[in-house]
Amino acid sequence: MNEALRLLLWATVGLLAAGAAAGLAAALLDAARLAPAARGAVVVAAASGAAAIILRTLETGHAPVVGNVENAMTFSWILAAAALIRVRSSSMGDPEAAAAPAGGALRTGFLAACACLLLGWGTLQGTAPAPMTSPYRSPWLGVHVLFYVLAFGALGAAAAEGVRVLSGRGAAGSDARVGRCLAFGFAAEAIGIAGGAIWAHHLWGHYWNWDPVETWSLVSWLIVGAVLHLRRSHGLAGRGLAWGAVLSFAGIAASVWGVSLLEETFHDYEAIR
Amino acid sequence: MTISISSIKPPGGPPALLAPLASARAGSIAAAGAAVAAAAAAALPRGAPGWRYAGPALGAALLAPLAAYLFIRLRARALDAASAGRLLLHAGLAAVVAAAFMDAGRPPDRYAHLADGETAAVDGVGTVRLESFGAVPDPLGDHRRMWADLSGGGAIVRWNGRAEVNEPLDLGGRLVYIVGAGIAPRLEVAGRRLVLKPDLARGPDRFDLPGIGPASIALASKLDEGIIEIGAAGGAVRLAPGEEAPVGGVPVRYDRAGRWVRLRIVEREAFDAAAVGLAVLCAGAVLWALAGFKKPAP
Repeated sequence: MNEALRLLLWATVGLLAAGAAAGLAAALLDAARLAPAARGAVVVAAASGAAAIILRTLETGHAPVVGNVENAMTFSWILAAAALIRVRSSSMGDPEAAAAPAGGALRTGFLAACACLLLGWGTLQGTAPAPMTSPYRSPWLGVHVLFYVLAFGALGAAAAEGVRVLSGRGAAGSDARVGRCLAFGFAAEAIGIAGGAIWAHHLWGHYWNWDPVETWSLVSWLIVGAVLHLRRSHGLAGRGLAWGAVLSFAGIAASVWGVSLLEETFHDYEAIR
Repeated sequence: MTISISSIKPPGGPPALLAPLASARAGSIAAAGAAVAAAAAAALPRGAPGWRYAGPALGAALLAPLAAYLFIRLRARALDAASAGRLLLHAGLAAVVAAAFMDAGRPPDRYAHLADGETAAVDGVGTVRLESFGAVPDPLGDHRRMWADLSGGGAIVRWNGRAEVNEPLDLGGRLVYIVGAGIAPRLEVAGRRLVLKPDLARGPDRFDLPGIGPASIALASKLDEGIIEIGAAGGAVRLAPGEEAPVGGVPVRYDRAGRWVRLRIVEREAFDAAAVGLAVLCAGAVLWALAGFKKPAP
């Protein structure tokens, strides 16, 4: 089963790469006819990613939340899904793909490229199942991961829309879409952090340990909060908001993927495995 | 079975600090804040340790002006739902910040590093004894569950109970967590009996063994925790329980592989204040979102 999963994951990486290439080419070369191809490739990639998640769940008997490859599967899948969801502007009309196909393709290409890099890296780490050891056996792990995955997808979608604005291909409702995605990501990350804090209390005796992972999660949440605050109170819009969205996505990516790889952290749970 | 030990609370405390809120209803925001700050200042020297009051005092000082402002605006019918939601959100945030300050002032954690059957005195807790350790291994050599049966207490109150990973033992005002575990080999080295507690989670651990000097202890295999490898200047040997072999010319007998746990004993944190703050924060956020999102942004 592990070999089948590995093949499925590499196939998904290939489809995401194709989607990214087609999306970026459609936007940068103004080749609108490539936009449907990009979207089609990401649709198939999302389906095969979902199949991989189901296969892995059947193999291990638990949700794919343990180890690099399982996290890469879920976090890359949400990026692919975010590429397919059309967030409407505040006027509740005018889906962006219909209004500006090149801009929509750029958004799809950006998210597919991020998902491709993430899943490719995760698959290279090895697909052998990681054990569901005693620290992971908490209902709060599910809350923590689920809402972090949702936040990652929402902030990824905001960043993709931001990239679109920064490239000069923004649509009329781009600011509203970025704002909505940031607001959703902010709320989801808050719940994710709270769930993680309760889990930490059950596991280590403290809600907050100022561990590098925790500190960076707070930093990334405050970045999103600051951008939303600037938008709400000072009317931040256009390129400024777009840069804020890109920074927000970079922040959550650093807290989820960067810090635990670079810093010594409690979050490896070695002492109680 | 767990016997709870009740904590003794000094006089004063949060209720005394929150009392000025009642009289601040009709007053100004500044008066409410000043009244609470004065009550906090009066209460602080009465209690020992003072940290128990620092958090509630700060929380009350932050909450009082907000509560008074909310009351005055609502009475004048000058506050719409979105503004009330925003105020509640900030009040909840203030309570969470106050809880964080309460938590920061907690006494330091205590630790006990015990092999099975071992008893240790822990400052402020009395004695703690590891009666037995249990674990459910998985096929890869890790553990699906691990727990420690503990007993302890002081001269008057005794307790016993089980601490498990993700399920701490609750002793009333304190919680006992397992934050580390491993094998504890019983060795006889040059005629001396030793109980070692190597931390093997990240690899071999080093010890000074009598007659041998610096030596490393490692698990020969993660899947069989009974077999250890002892490395010293004179070479390395693998031993199973009951075996004996020379290490650096010194006879070493490996009696059995026991277990050790590292326990963290934690004073209960300011969870109630944080939970109330979070609830208020969420209520405010929902109210603000429901009322505010219907209007177009200015």
